[in-house]
Amino acid sequence: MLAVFVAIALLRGPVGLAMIAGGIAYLGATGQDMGLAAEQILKQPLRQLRADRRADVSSSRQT
Amino acid sequence: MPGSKEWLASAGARREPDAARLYRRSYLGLEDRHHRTARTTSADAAQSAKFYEVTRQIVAHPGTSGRLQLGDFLEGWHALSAAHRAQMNEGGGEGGELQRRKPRGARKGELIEFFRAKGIEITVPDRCSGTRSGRPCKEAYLIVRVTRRSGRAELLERINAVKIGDGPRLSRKGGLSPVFLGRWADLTGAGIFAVLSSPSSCRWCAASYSAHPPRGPRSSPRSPFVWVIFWGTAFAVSAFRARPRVDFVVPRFAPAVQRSLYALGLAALGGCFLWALPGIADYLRFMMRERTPVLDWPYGVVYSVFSRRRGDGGAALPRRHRPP
Repeated sequence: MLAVFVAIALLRGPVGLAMIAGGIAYLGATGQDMGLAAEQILKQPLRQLRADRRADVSSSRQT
Repeated sequence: MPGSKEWLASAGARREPDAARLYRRSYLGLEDRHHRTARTTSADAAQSAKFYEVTRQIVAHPGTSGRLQLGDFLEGWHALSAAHRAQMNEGGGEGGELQRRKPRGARKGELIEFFRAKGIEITVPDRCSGTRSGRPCKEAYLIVRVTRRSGRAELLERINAVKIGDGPRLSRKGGLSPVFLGRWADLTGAGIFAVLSSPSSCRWCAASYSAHPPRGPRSSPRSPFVWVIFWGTAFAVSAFRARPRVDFVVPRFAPAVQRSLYALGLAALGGCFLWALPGIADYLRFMMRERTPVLDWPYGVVYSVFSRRRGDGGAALPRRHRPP
């Protein structure tokens, strides 16, 4: 995983995509389901959206 | 390339009347302010020529007036075909006439307009921060260091002309041009953002913030949100400038090697994503059974932007392999 990340990053690949590629390489090397990558990546924006919404709600209640 | 119309169009940069003598193995190049009265070094001209051959971009120097010039060499003239020589003579004549008729600023503007008409955009860059002006550089597509012959200082050259395709929808090969596709991708992103602000989003806001929310998990307008994120990063954000990258190894090499290394990195990146594509498609297929609470869309459709981003297109999803 680290080798893939470092190699792609040093070859001027975008750092974020290099991290994703490293994760994919880890999943592939350990024989895990590749869908985990999609699941984690897709749900992260939604988690952030929920966290922002909770923050908005709590701030509105405080005010 | 040498002998092309763009190449010949810069004929007005020098004042020699004999175009054939002037453009012997001429290449698009630069003229530094300090070199204006001196001969252009062969290294500068060769560097500029190599840039143009590799990148099809015109090199201009940030510290100069942006004036295009040609370096002349003797040995390459005989390597050109008779047609190219005739082209060069003709272009040189036009350039010489242009040079005589117009003041320097007008010549430069006319040259720039000519290049723009040919599909090459030229922008005059600011000086880099390392120069005396101290102003910061704008984002550069490529930066190369050219050592002056004197060896006292290094000259930063920037490519500031980009092939933009001149706006036609169809490229020469018959496909859609990158400019049109880029505009289409931008408009699609804007449309997704508009959907994010649509009444369905207002419904979500009302449901989320009301005293009596609907049953089930509170759903955000996930589909436009996810699509905004991934569509934007895939198509609307410039891959070259807007994404952080480690940039201290590759720039030390020659431009051709830089391009090769960059292509190698992107190939490795694409290989990894292709490796994961079956698993991603499987996950999307699995998520087709679930629907979003508010809009009632299948999650597989919502998440299909991820596979579109990976180049799958969302068209061919394999059968589900996971247990329910």
